[in-house]
Amino acid sequence: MSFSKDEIMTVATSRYIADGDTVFIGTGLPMVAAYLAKATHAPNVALMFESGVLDPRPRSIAKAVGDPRLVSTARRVSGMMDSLLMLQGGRVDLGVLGCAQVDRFGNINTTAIGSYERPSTRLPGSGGANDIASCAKHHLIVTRHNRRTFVESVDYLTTPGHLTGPGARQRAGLPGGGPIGVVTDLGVFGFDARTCEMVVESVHPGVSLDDVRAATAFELAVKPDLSETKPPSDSELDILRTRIDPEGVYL
Amino acid sequence: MSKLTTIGAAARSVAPGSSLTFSGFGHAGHPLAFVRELIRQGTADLTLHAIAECWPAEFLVATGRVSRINLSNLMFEGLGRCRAISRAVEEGEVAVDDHSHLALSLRLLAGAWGVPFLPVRSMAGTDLAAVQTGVAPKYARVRSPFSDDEVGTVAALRPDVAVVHVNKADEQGNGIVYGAMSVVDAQVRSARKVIVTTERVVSADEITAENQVVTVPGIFVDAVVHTPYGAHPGGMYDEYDEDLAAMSTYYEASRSRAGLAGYFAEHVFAHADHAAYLSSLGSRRLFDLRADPALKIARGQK
Amino acid sequence: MPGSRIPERLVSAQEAISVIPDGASVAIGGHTLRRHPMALVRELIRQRKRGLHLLGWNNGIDFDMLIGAGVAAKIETSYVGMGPLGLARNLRRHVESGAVETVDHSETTAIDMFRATALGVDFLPNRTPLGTDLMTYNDGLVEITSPFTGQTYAAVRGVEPDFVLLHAHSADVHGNVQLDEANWGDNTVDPFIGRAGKHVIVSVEEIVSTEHIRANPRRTFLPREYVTRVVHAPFGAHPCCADARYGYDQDELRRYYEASKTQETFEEYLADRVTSVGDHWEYLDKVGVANLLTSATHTSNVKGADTA
Repeated sequence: MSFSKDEIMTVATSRYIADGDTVFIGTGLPMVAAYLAKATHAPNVALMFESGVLDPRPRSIAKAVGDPRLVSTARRVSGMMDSLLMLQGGRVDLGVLGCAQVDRFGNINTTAIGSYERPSTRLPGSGGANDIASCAKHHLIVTRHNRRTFVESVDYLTTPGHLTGPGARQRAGLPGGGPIGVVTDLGVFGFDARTCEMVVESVHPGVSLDDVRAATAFELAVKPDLSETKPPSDSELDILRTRIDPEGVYL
Repeated sequence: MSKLTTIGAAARSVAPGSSLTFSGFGHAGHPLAFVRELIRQGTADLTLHAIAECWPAEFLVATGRVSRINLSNLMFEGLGRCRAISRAVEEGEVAVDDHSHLALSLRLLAGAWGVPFLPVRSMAGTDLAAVQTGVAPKYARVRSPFSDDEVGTVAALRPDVAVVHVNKADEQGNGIVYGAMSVVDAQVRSARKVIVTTERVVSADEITAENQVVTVPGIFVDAVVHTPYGAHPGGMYDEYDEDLAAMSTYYEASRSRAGLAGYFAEHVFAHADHAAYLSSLGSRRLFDLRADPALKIARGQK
Repeated sequence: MPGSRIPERLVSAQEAISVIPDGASVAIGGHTLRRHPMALVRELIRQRKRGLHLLGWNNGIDFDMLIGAGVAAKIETSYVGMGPLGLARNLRRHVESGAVETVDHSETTAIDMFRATALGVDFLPNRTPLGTDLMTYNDGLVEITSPFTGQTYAAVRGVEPDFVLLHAHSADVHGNVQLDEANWGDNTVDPFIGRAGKHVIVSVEEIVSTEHIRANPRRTFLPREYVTRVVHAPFGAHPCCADARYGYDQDELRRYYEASKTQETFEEYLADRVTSVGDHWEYLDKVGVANLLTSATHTSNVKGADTA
């Protein structure tokens, strides 16, 4: 079956979600990916939303993190403070974040493009993203891939990746382990254990390494065993299209 | 003595130059009837402590009522950026100081607990900590008294006014919020003045019967205002859905300053009060939004 | 359907308590004669644990019984008493003899030591112990200056007990723990104690389905993310009360209190009520399950819960 860019991003994201994990997540493609994981290899994943909703089983796909579809089917409902403190208390295994800009260390900007006080584009701000990247055991970045997003240096460092490199997170006192991967519409990326810099792990079918480099404003290392991203299976696509997001809210 | 008052009197009690924080999360639970009245009265030079109050903040910025925002995230989930806020910041009309959600929530919690600071792990190593543009510092690092480590701390905040929308309240302001509670606990305990707007005014006995879910203790409350559909065009859990068409009308209008002027002329200034606003929407539209008591979404919604 | 492979954590009290080694730090929930995990406390005594470091917020018969039974070496709390009955006599005897070490807190610093860890930070600022000898003798309370206002506060060091024992109204087999009403959890410090421990054992009045948990998600005060073992123990707080489930057993509390006058009579009480019975079920039979049920299902007794 042929598939869209969103669909391969969703499937690649779902592969980072392990069974039994507590995953802090927002709506959109990451949530679809988490429900795909739950329907396939990770039936016992529990999703935590910053609205204070823990482990919902919505009857239909949610449009917002505070959606009544989530609130009315959860295992626990509290408030934002409680969910964020669960995160800071070290109980969250994985967070999934988007971004407007990301650098080679996985540092993210979602605050402002240009100067902070008179930005050319003012963005929504951190929300819970900084908290997730600071405190979750690990996090994953999911974003579209282009030179405006993959920048040499972020205009404003909203959300910590590996900061300035090896040891920087520990020096800052951040409890979480930092980003473990980046999923884009071009490929899947990891972070080198020694340099903490982004490396290409796989490129999606039909995408070349040159395509990836052309869409990235910093120099990318490449894993020696670079491979092609495993495409979505027919059954994964079927689950996405008929069970999880049949109306095409996100995909 | 009853704390019930009119929306006009409650809004007049907010002085120009005040700092405010509002209930709500995403597209639900915001006291928007109150915000519309505040806009009608022209109360300006406001400071907002905005964690999840995208709609109040956007409306007040769009009408030029806001000078400063301490914020953690302002966007319209599913729609996109809050355009009036983005434009005002880009053009230097509103000053902002950015936080993570947890950090700003803890600033209010510190105010609520009466301590000048609370430790926080988030924000370390980022520009959220390094760039401080507020009137007073938000973040500082201290040496832990129990180790050689440095720990991050955030400064307490005490808003002048918290405005909180609830499902039901008695005349003393004992208020119940169903569903998720956002940061209402910290907001009502940290603010110097608390105004409750409520879908329903109920007897004290009805509150006592559900006293285990009282979210807003009346002892913190100064005024109670009865505003059915007070969160429109947003939704209210267990009451009514978001009015997606009305939200979209606003969002389209927000593309330009002229569009916004037209929106507020038609939807706010044209109406003397909340009752007139509701009447303009019409009964069919209001009742089609009612949430099913079990499914918590409106009939016909998937 | 997903769900079947979520770990089941329901075990007997014996099994849950058996993993606690001598010398461990053990926090105990409840609020002075209300909802203490007494079935688990009695099991600690049956298994002859020794040298425990007990932590709590407001304690009573739970700490007093463990001290009298020789289980505790050190206690850290803001209060141990028998409510309207009077002082905790085992506590007095063993602290005055030097057998048990104490670390004293104010009521709010005893909250903050759990809350700091629950919130994922090393300490929380608190004003209550300033200028008192609580600061002198408790090295978990150290002065700190606000970086914003220059004011002096006490930093309350977070604790991370090796084990936490709580009693609640209901749980599913996976460890999603509920109280009957959403805010009962806020009335004691149990939600924070439960989030501060390394290994959390919760006894409950009844085991319910996960469907029931999901039907009332605001009642989940401790989700399974925090819970390691669940124990089914109806009347597990007896002779303490358990909110609207049952009131105090006044006769039993008085009997305990009289017995605690001397070590000798206290040991007779322990032999009768704790060490001579095999487990909590035998304990209930010995106390008289018919009386317990009759009393718990009559409104006057439950309403009387607040006037021990």
